[in-house]
Amino acid sequence: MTAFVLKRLGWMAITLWVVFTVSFFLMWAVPGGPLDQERALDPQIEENMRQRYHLDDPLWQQYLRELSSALRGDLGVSFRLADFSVGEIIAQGFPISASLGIVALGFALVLGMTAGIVSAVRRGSAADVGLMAAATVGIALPNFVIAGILIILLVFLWPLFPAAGWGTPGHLVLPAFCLGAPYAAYIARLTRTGMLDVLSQDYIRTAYAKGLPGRTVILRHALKGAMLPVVSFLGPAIAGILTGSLVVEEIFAIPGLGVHFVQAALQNDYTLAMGLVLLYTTLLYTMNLLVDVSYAYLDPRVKLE
Amino acid sequence: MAPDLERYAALLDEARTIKGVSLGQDAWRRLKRNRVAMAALGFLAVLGTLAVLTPLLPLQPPRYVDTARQFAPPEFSQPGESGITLHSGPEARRASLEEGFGRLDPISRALLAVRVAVFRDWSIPSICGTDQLGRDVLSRLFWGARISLAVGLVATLVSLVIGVTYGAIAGYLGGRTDNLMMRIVDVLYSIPFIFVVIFLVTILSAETTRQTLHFELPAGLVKDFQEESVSGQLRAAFAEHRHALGADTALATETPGERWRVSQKEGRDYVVELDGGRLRVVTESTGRLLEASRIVVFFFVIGAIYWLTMARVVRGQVISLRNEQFIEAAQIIGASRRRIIFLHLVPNLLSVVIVYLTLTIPRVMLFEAFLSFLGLGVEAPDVSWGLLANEGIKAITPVRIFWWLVVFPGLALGLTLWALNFLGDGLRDALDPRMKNR
Amino acid sequence: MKAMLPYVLAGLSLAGMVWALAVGRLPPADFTFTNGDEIKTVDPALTTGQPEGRIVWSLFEGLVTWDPQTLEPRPGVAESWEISDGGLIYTFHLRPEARWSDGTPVTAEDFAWSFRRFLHPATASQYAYEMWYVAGAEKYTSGEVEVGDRVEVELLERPPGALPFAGGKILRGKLLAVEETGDDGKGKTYVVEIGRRRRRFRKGAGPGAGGVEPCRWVLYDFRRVGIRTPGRHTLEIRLKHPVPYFLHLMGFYPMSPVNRRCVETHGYPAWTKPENIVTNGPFHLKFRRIRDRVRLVKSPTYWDRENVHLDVVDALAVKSYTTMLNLYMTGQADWITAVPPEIVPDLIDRPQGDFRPIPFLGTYYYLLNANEPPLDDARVRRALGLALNKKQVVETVTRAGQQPARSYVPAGISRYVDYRPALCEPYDPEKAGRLLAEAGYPGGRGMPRLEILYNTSEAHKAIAELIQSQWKRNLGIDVSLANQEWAAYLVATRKQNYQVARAAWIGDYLDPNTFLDMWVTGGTHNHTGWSNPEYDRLIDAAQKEPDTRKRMAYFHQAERILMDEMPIIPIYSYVTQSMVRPYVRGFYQNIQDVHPLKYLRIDPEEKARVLAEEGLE
Repeated sequence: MTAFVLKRLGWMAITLWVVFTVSFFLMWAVPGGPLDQERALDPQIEENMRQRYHLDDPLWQQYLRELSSALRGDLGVSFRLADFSVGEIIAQGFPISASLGIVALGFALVLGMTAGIVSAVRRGSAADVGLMAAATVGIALPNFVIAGILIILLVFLWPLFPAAGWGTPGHLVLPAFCLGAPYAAYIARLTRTGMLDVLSQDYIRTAYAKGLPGRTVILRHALKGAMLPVVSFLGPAIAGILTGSLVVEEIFAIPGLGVHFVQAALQNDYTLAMGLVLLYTTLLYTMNLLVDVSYAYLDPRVKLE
Repeated sequence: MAPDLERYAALLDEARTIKGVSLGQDAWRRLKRNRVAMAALGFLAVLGTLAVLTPLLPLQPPRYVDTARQFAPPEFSQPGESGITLHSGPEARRASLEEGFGRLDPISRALLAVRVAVFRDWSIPSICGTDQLGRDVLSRLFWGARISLAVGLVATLVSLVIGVTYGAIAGYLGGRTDNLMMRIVDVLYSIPFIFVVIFLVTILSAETTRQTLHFELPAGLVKDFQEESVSGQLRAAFAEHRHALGADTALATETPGERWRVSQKEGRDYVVELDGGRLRVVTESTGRLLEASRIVVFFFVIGAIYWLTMARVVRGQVISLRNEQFIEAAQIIGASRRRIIFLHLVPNLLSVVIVYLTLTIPRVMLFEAFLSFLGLGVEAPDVSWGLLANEGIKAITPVRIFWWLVVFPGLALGLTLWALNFLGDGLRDALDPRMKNR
Repeated sequence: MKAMLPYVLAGLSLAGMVWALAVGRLPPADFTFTNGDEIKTVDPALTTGQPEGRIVWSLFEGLVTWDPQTLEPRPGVAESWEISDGGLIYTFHLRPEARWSDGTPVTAEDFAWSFRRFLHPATASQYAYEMWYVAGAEKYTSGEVEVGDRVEVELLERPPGALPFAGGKILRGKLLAVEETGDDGKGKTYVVEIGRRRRRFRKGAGPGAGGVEPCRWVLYDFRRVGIRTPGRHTLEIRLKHPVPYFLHLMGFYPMSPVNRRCVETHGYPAWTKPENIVTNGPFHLKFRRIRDRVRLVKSPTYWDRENVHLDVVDALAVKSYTTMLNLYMTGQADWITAVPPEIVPDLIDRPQGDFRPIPFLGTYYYLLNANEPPLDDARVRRALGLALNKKQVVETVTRAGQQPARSYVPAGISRYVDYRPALCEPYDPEKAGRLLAEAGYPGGRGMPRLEILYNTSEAHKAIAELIQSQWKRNLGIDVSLANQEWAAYLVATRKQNYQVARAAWIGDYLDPNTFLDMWVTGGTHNHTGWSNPEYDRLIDAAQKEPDTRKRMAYFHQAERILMDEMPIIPIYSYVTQSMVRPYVRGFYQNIQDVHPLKYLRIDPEEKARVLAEEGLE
């Protein structure tokens, strides 16, 4: 197990380096450097700024310089939010995005799995069809459409939730729902498929034959096996939640990292963009690693290589 | 002896009448039994046909701006504004058609001509309302369908081609090559694709710097303004200045008079005219890094994102197929690796691929909507469902809700993606070999 | 163990959620407003836009402040001033009771140091040019020196006992020669006579070699720039030529002072952090949550604190107009700075009367690249202008009561300054067609396709689409659209990589100069490539002219040329977009849409009544 984890961490380091390099060169290929503002800078001033940010050095030199400071943990100062370092921005925004993401994921898991289990157990019934149809709605509409409709219904028609902002539990509900809905849908479908697979297995039939009540059979015995496809979906789900959060965070004015992601790229805020890319990659890789490890826990037949 | 022979003959006859059921036929039969999937298939077929035939339908022009009718709610009685002037000359009619429908490819233009001939200037009323500039939402939905579906299909096909090839090769070769190739996929999976897309879209839309060309004709060369002689002088001048323009410069007469078009191989056009003794460049076409609209960019860029899952799935399938006997047989016979991969493996992957196809198209279309939200979607005056949904969302305010701007694009997107997902599910069930003959 | 896993995960998520929400909880503020996108910085010298301006104006106070109704300069840190020598010398007397938030008094030396920092090329302040009216300032900022000038040399080492981020030791002398040291990119060697010795200096970090000492900067001596401190509380500024709006300009937010000790102790950006920052304005910085809010609290050291009525103010960073409106409607914001354009007529009709747009000192216009054929022909440009139905744009797209613009300087300026803008021709599609035919494109035939570039925004898109259809209908020409993100769009316009581009300009002060001096040949904001020597001459004359009537006449003539040649097509004059609750007192509409927080207060009974009426808690 330890060897496995270590090997994966090694690959993570390599992945991070590749991501760093690719992003670095991509960002520099885009026209419009960080110093481009509405008023053209006096040539002398512009030259001074270029000196300060080392923008005139040959590309490989800038690359090495950034690489070495990144390795030391210094991700630089944001170009766009000039008062803050990249580390500070991430430190402020990450807990918020993370908690929003966790709640969204939790909601997706609970709702999705419940729907999937009910669907599988009552296969072919009206409940099955209805739930799967509802699940597909989550996949079929862009999340900003879902958000808009929910705002009309639950903020203005029946004022149950605040319109935007962050601070109370009420602020969390709508954004988490919008963010989690597509993933609830996927999870419902995956659970249903996995459940159907498991329910046709022999050991389930044995459990029923032993006389165990249905609920015990499903929750204690069948669920673990049915969770496998869900667990393997968790990795990409978390990735998707991190990016899907951009739209939701903008609509609901939530001060998380999702908005920083795209704004940094669009505004050529190189340092912040780079920092977020590395963060995102680390997260994704760690999540995938955890998923693989928990796979081993859940299915004793799986051996980690 | 004779009764045995008869029995065998009867068996043989019976055996001949039994037809083998291929996997495809079996699957189709199973699919037909799945009513929801068939309904979805029917819906998609109708949608696809209508999208292709959109110029034929009596819809209002999608680009016709009529601000007097802005934000009109859906209504059924008043016939739609067609903006097609029938009675003035063909020139005016062509101009009005171009204003309303934009420049179309020849097939669409032909269909449009048929529509004008059949329906004259009647069009369906605004049953889905109008938007901020008075443009009919229903027609924009149909014209947007063409682009959204095209993006979905082509991008998915691109991802399919890349993914299947990559996964098949990795799975078949196995061993260290497979390991390496999959590690590369892992690494690529971790790269946040949003950055890639934004960068690629920005780079590929960037303008190259423009050049202006001026060069002088030798004095005295321009004697009079007869077209022939001038163009002769022009040719002489170009022969001299060819190096300034670059290789493969051609000279053609564009319009009678004083203008000539110079075309270069990369698609840069210069229109030049004589001005006193100077050859003056009047215009130069836009030089983009990629002489293509954003839509084409989407095709390849988006396709390049979604091939990763396809590659993984295909690889898994190939690995399990690799050990089948028919592959072994082919290897024994001495078939080349390429032949085995492409002739034997790939067709057997069809079921998996088809299923993933129908499940990737919705993701691609949603991604296009996401890009529209960021402003990186198709550019006006082109229209796509993502763009329409986005415009609709911006129109939701607590004070007034122009509901038709959200509901109809949302319905269009939702229904189509819903149908695609159900069809994908049905196909997956139908093509599942474990269900054969059930 | 395995069965516990889901419960462990659930427990962890719950804990994480609780923690994040706990961090998010805040006591409510007295007054909340939306301040557009997240501000770039609170350093006055580095600010760029209105959102930063609102915060800087609350944290710092300059020599003068602006009257909230008339925008006239009122005493700020300077309690009185004299103007002498034909408008060339301004003497400000600072009030002795003005204090920094660390208790130390605000002195003239603070202003002198702040202005030096503002003008210093290392700061790269974008508004530095606004202080170039001061004698010698432009030369200082440009960093150029000529033989015979008095210069200051900033060494690499700091003076003994200096603070960690202080500048290097400064030597002053006379520049004797500048030697070019070859083409290795190392640049020049400056030979400076300091005291009696000649010393040689080179800019750069490396150790000195061959008698050449390294230094950070060689600049025009700041003592030669027209900023002096004759007394502890006396500041004297000498201008190159009379500037009628100079007092008004001194109240502009980049001209705010910063505390030298604070900046030199912590350096940038650390000095802007709430625990470090030292300010002299009506409010102090409590904290900044990125993309959430900036919280300001009443300053206990501000000299006029008796007249500040708000204790806690929140400036929310919200980009989307719809979200701003949602916050207003649900009572979470008392003042919003923009509204969604689609529903503006409904907002104007509100019985509460909280949305009353008035003219704003800004113009929305289209840039025409005068170096690109066919736009280099003035007839083509005029035809495009004549074929643009501005009335349709303001009546059907923007719909907030904007006025179609027939001049570049907004007509509303006439209420504040005695200036009559020069008007262009009114909408006339037939004349446009005739002009286009004259230029060689009858009926639009042969005219190449034009592209309108705009920065990504729904509003700009709608306007561009409308104009596209207008030009197609009226002139028969083909127009395509392209949108780019703000950063890329700025690059494209600066490099003149466009044909037609959307643009807007908001005036910094109440004088036609802020609009008209943009278009001189080679002006930093002249992205059209248009050039007219007569225009340049008129603007230059206007800037130097002391007599107001003659000045305005020069400006009028210059604008006349601008409208005749039409390198830009003015489309409409902006209106203010502020929507504010009626229980907010001290909020006055003015043409620059400036609403200093210092003068605002909340009427509690009115607030309770309004909230009850709307059904909000």
